[in-house]
Amino acid sequence: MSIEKTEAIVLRAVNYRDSSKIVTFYTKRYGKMSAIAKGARNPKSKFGSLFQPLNYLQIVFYRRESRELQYVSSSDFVRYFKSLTSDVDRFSIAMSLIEIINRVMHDEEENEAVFTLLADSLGALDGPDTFPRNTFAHFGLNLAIALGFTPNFAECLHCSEPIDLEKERKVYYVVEKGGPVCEKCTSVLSEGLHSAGAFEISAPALLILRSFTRLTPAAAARAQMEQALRNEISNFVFIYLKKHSGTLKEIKALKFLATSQYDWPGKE
Amino acid sequence: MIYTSQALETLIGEFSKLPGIGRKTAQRLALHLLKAESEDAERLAAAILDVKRRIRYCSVCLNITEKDPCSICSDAGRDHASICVVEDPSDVIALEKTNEFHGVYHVLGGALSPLEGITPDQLRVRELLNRLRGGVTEVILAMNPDVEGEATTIYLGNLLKPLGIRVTRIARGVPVGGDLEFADEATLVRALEGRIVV
Repeated sequence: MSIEKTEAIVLRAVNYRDSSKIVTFYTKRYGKMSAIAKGARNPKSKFGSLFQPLNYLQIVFYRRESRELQYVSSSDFVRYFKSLTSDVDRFSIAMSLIEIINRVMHDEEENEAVFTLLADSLGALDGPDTFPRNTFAHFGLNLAIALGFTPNFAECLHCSEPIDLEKERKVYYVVEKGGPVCEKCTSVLSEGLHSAGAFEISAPALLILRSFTRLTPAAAARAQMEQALRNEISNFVFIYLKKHSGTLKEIKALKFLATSQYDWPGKE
Repeated sequence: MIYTSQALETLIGEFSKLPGIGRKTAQRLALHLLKAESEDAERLAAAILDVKRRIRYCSVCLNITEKDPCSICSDAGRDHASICVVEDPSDVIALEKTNEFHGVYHVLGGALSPLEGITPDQLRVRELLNRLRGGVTEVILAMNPDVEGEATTIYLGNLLKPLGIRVTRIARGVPVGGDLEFADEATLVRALEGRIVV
């Protein structure tokens, strides 16, 4: 057994017995892991409010490889994301990011790029004048890339010619193969495209997605665009990630966002 | 059959369905009952049946009660214009112990949870909105200070503010008897945000 220290983001925390918690972290050095925080529910516990989802911490824990649940001995904030709970949109998107990580990443599979992407994306969401849906699209796209499913936005899947997105209006994108089909090939393939699971996406949306592969989370979060484009790129990223991850069927946090626009009696 | 009695096996099976009770604890409880007087066992069985038969939800506040409306909702001495919204009946018990709140309650039956997919339609939000038609002037949101409680507070705040009712939330921060030195940043930030004039 060794004593280890790592940065970690809390993905989930469930109550355990009368006063403890079982916390699932996504850590910088050990990937996804779970640990028991003894006494964490006690109001005067040294852990205080640390083990809440979305918190970015430094944890010290006793590690034994043969054990599924480790023991956290101490913890402290690396950064407190104060504004993530300030509105429903921001909060739901932040929760959707940690839900995706929880579902897509396997236990103890270290991936520092994914950890940095998650931490920076939460940091971007926490900033002022940012668009939460931009962060969702940027995060999902770059997570797919970090996991080895890099989408192609440059060449036609069929003829391999470069696609000029400045000139095209709409293109078909074959999610399973991770690439677009140019206008010329679309007319040749027509029916075959639908059976291959291709869907139509606007050229401006693909241009934004292409730029998102190069932007930092903070820059992407501030990108100005029409709401319709924001919805289009978010939808594309969700479908793409769902297809390639294999473990992501739905995102509950986004379902929450969709249903949170609740009507009340007498509402005009 | 592990045990020599089917009755014992059944009892252990039933105990182990309870939250936090594993097979070993269930066995210990069953063997304890076996040694106890018959009257004790009968009293326990009667108490369980009594709870199931007599306890229901108050049609006004949705707290657990034996008579409908509950003793709090039917108390004319309480301030019915002030509703304290809580997650569970246990929160009503905790707040009542303080003797500081003289209004009435509304039990939501849980909290919104983006991760568990618990949405507003699964809580008693519509019942709360229906109550607000009757001269309510203040709604106090008393959710647990965790992410689910936070989500519920944001959501209800957005929902209720346009109705022209005063919406408040209970304070968050350093616990009484706690130590500032050991409080974490999140707690201290919330404590500073909720500071009051002395």
